[in-house]
Amino acid sequence: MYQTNYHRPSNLAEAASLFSGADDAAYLSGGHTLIPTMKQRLAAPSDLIDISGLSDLKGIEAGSDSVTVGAATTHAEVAASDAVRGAIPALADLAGNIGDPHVRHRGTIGGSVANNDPAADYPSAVLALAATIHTDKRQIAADDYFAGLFETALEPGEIVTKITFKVPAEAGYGKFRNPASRYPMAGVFVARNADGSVRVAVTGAGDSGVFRWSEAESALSSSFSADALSGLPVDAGGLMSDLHASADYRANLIKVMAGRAVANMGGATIV
Amino acid sequence: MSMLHLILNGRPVDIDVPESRYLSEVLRNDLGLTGTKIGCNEAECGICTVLVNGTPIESCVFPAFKAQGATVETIESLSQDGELHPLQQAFLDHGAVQCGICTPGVIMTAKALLDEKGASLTDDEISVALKDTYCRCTGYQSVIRAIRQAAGQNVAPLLPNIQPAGDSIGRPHPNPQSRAKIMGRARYTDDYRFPGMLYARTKRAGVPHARIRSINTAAARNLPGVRAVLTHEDVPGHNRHGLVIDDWPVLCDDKVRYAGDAVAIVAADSDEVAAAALERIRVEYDELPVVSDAIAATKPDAPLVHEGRDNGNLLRHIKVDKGDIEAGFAAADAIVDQTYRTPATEHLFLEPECSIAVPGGYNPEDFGGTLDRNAARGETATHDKTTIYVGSQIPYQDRGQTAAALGVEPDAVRVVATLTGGGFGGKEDITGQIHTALLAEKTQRPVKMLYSRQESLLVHPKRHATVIRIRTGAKSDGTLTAVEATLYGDAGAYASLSEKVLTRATTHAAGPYDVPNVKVDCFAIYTNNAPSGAFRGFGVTQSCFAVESNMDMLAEKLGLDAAEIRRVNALDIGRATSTGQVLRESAGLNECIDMVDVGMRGKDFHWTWEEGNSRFAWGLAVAYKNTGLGGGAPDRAGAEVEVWRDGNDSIRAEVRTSSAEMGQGLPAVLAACVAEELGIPMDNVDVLLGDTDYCPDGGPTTASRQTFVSGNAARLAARKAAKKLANASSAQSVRARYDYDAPQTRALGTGGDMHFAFSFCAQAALVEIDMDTGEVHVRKVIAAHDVGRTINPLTLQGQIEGGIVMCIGYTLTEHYIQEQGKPWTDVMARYKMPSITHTPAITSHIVEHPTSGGPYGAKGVGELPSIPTSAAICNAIYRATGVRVRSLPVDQDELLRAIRTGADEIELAWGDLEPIPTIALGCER
Repeated sequence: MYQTNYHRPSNLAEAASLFSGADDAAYLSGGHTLIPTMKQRLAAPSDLIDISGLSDLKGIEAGSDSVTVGAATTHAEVAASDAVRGAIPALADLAGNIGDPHVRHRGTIGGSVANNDPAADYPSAVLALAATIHTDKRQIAADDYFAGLFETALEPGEIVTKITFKVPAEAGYGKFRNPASRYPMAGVFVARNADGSVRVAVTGAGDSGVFRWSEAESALSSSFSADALSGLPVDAGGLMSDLHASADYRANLIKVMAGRAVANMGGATIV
Repeated sequence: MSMLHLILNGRPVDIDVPESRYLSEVLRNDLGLTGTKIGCNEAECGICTVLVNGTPIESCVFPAFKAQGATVETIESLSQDGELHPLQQAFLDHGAVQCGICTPGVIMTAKALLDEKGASLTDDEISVALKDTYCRCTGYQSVIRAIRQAAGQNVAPLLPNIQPAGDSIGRPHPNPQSRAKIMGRARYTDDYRFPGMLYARTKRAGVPHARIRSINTAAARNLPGVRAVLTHEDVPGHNRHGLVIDDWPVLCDDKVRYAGDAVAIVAADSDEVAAAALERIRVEYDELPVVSDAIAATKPDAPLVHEGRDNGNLLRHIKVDKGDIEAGFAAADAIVDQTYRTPATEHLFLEPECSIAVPGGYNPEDFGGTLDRNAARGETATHDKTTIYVGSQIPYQDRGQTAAALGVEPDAVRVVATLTGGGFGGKEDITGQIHTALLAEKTQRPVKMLYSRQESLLVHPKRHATVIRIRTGAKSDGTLTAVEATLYGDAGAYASLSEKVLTRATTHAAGPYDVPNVKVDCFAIYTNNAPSGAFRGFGVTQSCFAVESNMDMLAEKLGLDAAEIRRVNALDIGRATSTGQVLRESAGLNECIDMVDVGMRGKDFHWTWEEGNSRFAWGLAVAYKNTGLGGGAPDRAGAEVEVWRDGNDSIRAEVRTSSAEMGQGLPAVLAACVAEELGIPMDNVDVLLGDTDYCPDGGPTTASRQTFVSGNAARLAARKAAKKLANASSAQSVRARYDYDAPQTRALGTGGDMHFAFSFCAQAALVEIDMDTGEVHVRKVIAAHDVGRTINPLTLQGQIEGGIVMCIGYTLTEHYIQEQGKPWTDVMARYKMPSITHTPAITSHIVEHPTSGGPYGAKGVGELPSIPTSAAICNAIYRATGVRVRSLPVDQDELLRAIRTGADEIELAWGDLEPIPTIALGCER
């Protein structure tokens, strides 16, 4: 690594003050995105502030209608949590299928949501479950949080502290992995609420990151079955098209993965 | 600097290091624990895995201070008091170690899984845990079996069912170096640290085609810590290298011809300073038009990659002509005429290229090191001449090419082959050997040059992208009457081994069949893409895909069974190859077809069926591959065997040759040959490879030749030594050298024996296609290979499993994509290498039709398993979907589109390619 200062603050206030005191600081969690980026010299922070060990950001709490996960909770911890599995099993399965064990033991939910990689898994659950993102300054509703590729409503220096998920009646997740990066090429999280309303969020495919598939939401609200999706159009216009897959192909994957999520509520279906 | 405290392998460690260190750097550089390896430095390959507080992490992206106060376990901690950890023992038993560079990481990932799951772990859990920890050699099947054994499950090593031909020959034995590899003690080039060593980097062109106007190195030279900056003006000898034609500049002078060209080199006190110096080198270019497509490069107005040649961009026109092609097609009842495309692909050996050069006159004491006067090589030895440590496939040619650039005689240079972390043909050309030698002699210091993964992807030669049109004619009973083919091969910017590779593609373009009338024209063409060179299969991989796809189409047209049409035409004793070579022995193709056919059909056989939203189908293909250089080239290998009695009056031996081990298991083959001749256990035989001052020239490790030629040299040297030993006093050691010359072959076009042996195989692949997504999975492969004679069933199984999975990657996922001469696949994350999730169940049958010249009857097998798999898979895809794939890799996106639209073929390759012209088959140029 070229010359970089590495800090391990002991609390949030210290983290924020280190951030504001540095020339060009970056918060570090699992580091699986930031560090390869630094190695390619696409980022060159003067200071790395490692917030993955902050006790303020740890822990999982389950209430009757919500589950709150501390931002520094690793994917492995979410996957292994009885509280999460009991309330939203699809969320536990989603976490248990991110990356490989190396990533799951180091990557955190806060890191993933703050980074907002268009091919990350978590943003789909955050959006479909109408979660609230808590920061050291405020609370942000999921619908107001994601703002495009690697862009969020976070201000510079703002830290995600925890995420509160609404517990749905049931939820499911279907993902199709990119053969090279293994990130989802289309990941669809479907949440059905007790009032019959349905939220469907898609990751890995959108040109500007995670998005809600409103046609599917209406269709599934009327008739909650994979068949309800079969006639739906998916507009390829806003989808990514790259060397891995065309927008049309992603459009098809969205429909197929949504169907598989609906057919297998209460878990994750991974291709 | 800050104090880092770790509990490392059970012991507290306190070390003062910069905060910017990664854990891999602290382990390898600061603490000297080089068992942890680096493959990509970008958190993709997983081979740097160590455990932190019991969980696996990728140490290359793990800031060292993240581990402050934590327990850290590395591969070095696994064996206790000389007892191997169950995983280490299991990896040895199952032959799950080949080149070994990934082994520490794979074992550490597996250890975390084993610690978590214990005895109950399943194949599925293994696959989930190792999903992103790569191995390029084994194909993962032996890894899965080994992990299950380590978990206490009753899993025996999977070995071919053969009768051992001797006490050592035909007996399973781990490769002699495997023990060091599983313990993290094996040393690859980057694991060497010579006292006083400098670090070197290369300034790459970055542009694919340009005239160099000026190179300004002043700012780089002035950077503190920079010891030398060299350009073409500093090359004292010949500023070109090349294995066949010396057209590749050591350092570019007049122009650059591809983005990876070397323009200047830097040696500095640290890698960081060397990297900073590169950014200060200013090169002014006049950019030239780029030609990045082989067919476009043949047009009259195409930019010239090399000026002043009579044939423009045509590097070579290779021809096969047999019988009367017109009469052949006139006699045919059915003709299939089809065009195929195959992609450039990347070897992705997990050890990036690394060279260290030590200057003549080097004494480690001069730089504060320790001198061991008995050391023949390594950090404690003196070096009396320029010495290059490198994981090379051809040490003697490295030596000759380096000497030419230095302007000295070949024996003024020494090459010491270190362990090679995978080669597959990709470590035959010069990379850093000459550059480090120039810098070492300039600075009088040892100089290390380690390529980053990105640099490795950019620079070394790839597998040839080809366009192949092939026309196959047969009678109604399936008898082939004619094969006519035209091949265009993208040679890239420099000749490398293009002529040889594409000759093999040409001579094998009629398949392993007796075809009376054959006409093949192949054009090797320069472009501004990365050079193309050797890659396991050596051109036959490409032509086999076309040949065997056509064969299935022909069978369908004629209403014949896929196995039957192949049997009717199979090469056999008394039948002739496309070059007119009549086989006299060792042709087990029919038996291979029979074994695979029986294995595939079983009870209630169906070629294809449906289950849920999946369709399943079987596909079949066959292949052959020459052993040895052939084509009239002298094919010689030397070996020396020294034999002595040790203190217990047991006979021990050492065999020496320059032949390269890159994971394929050559040391075990050589040791078996020597042990067999001397009548001693294999463990009593040491193997020394690749030190040009100590080892006779074994020739290039290519063309599946080493078991045959170096195996023979070792066997015959051992036989000579045994005779000498019988007449020697008990205290004496005896030495014998044997220079083995393989049977003379004939040049292409002169008739007769172009090769001294061929190996044959048949493979059947069962594929599953998800009809909703177009995804293709290979579920099973049944294979039968005629290898002449099995020398070591354990390493043979590994070659076959690894070769098949490598070809699954070639078929389904891999594509080295270049756009206008610039690679898009410039990081590992963009190159789709098969992971454990791609590995199918593999049943491997061995057929033994011995060849009289081979050691105990053996012939080559290194490349063969990686040849027919593509066609077997694509033939299965056709059966399942009705879509004929004419372009690799299989694009699931296109396949789905074809299935949905009812199209019957896919012809696609990346980018705005030239449309394939109506190639005048057999055209003259």
